[in-house]
Amino acid sequence: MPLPAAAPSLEPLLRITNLVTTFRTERGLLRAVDGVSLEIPKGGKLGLIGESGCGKSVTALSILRLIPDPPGQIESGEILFDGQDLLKLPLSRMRHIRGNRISMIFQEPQSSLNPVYTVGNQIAETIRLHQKVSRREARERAIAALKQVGISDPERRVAEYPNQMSGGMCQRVMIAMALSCHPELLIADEPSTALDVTIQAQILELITSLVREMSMSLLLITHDLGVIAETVEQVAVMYAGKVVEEAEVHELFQNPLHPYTTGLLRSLPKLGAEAGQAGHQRLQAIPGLVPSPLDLPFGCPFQERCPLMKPLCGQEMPELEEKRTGHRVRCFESC
Amino acid sequence: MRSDVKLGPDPLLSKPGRSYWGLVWRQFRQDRLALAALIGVLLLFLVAIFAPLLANDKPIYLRMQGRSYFPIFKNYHRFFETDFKALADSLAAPDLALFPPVPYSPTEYDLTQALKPPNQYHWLGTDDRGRDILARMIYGARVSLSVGFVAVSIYVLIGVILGSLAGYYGGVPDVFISRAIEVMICFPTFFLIITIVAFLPPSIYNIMAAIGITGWTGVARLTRGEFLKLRSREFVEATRALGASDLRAIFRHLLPNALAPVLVVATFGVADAILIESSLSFLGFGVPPPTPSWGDILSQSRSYVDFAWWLTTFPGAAIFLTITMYNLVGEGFRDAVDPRLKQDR
Repeated sequence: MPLPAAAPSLEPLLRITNLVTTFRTERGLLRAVDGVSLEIPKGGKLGLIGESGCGKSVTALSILRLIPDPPGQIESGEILFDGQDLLKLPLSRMRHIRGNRISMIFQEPQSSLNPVYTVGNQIAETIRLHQKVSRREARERAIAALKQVGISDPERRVAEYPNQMSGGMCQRVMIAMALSCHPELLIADEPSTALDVTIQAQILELITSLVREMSMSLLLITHDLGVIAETVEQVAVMYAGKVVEEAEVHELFQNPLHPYTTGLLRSLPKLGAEAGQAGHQRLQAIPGLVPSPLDLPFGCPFQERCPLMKPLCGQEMPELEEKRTGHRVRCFESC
Repeated sequence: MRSDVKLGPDPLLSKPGRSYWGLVWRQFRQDRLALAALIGVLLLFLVAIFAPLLANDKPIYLRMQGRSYFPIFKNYHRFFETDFKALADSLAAPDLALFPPVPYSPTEYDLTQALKPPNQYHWLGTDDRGRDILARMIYGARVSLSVGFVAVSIYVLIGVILGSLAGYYGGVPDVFISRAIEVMICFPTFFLIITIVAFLPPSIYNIMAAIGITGWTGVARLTRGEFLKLRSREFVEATRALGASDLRAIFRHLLPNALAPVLVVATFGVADAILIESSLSFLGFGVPPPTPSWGDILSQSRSYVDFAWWLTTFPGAAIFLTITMYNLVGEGFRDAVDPRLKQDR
């Protein structure tokens, strides 16, 4: 009996279930990621958004098991990548996945490259780490990779050192390096934050087009709502180590349900709302500060800043519930 | 510091394709004194390497009865135990013997020439057995330089490995290695070396090993510090995210970045090791006779110090100059590696 060929698999490429990552500090145990569950389908693009310290980057590093231990530790949870639990893999198999099947690019492109080697050298090294190719072939593939990320004159650039390149160029090199082994999943941790605005747009455009071309999945981490809106299909909003809202990108921007998401969207400046014109108003900030992750309030972590707070919020943690089709939120009040 | 340094275009941008070491060399070259010292050190190396061609009791080239001989490079059966100087005196044209600039071997003695001050035959005089001081010093350079280099290589190797493990892994390995360093530092190094050497048969290799296994603490602490600093840099995380193992991260990515300050310390370390070897030889714990060493020549001069000034002056000056040159090279290197120290004009 012929098997149904290429039936759309229901199993996502990456499925994180109840991930808990903690850090031991002098003042106690810090739960940086507290029960996060995420899914990325094959070819899907997920955005992870939240402010500094909410656990976005720790989630990404947990996927690659790059949490510095000590003091960090992945306490529990499951990270299924293509059907295998990454948290149970021996380290040698994990190394084979890093850079080969899951790649990551970082926020600071210039310091993410080793200053003592030429960029070509570093790309070729990554290729040779995962594939048995000759030095010459690795070099040729490094040149091809540089060309692919839009670096002009790659034959000359391949022999340059990171200090001779601009930030945008370095990020292109990082992307070339991360994609040199054709990974299935690319994790981009604030890839454009350290760059100026025009370069940001170019880099995001490059990432999006390469992800499409190579039919990769993307996990994009950022605190920039604009970047999310342009780049991904699905968004998860994180606050104090938890996912507080998850939805398809248009749905989230049109019907934000969690008061934190609403607050974030309201705090964006609007085009055309210049001084003296109709619609001009002060930017609305979310009152208060993020609670210290060492000293979270009982119940909902957002309660102290929440305009909708009611007594129940201080008594128990709301569950992440589906309130609209494909739109889940962790809040008692919103509907 | 120096006033002749011009503020040119940014050295990082002015020339394409400059590696890190290329930049360091550019900076180093601007320090005239350090450059002169480096040339001096290299000359000393040449002297050590070509010692047999500079000082020897055999001729470099000998033509006799129409045949050519090279007695320094080859042992000829017919010249077994021949006194080449007597032979040379008996030669008549067209036969000739071409001797090295210093026609004495370091062990060749002539009691009739004992304790002669510098003269036309013995440029730096002779010792109490009539051995030529210059010849002995030329061969002594071999001992000094090889002890300096081998001993420092040993302890740089130990120090770098321990220091990088401590700095990279932190935690328990760091505690153990750091405590080991502290314990080691508590011992006065020189006396520890004397103690070790006292238990071992006298040989140049044992001195190298003794200096090597006692000197690693400084390098280990420095490497550990550099690794602590570098460990949190993004490129380390990036290489690990791209699938590099710990060992690869340590030795291929972190170490080259941490190496420059270590090499600076190693340069100073060579000077120290030479001084230690000279001190050991002076105290009689050094290389066994008849191998000549600068400290050994000094040691012999003790009995004649009230009149034989050449016995103390020349080896003393050689030690002093060599140490100074190494320190100057080390300082220039340090300034070139660390631009922050340079720009305090």
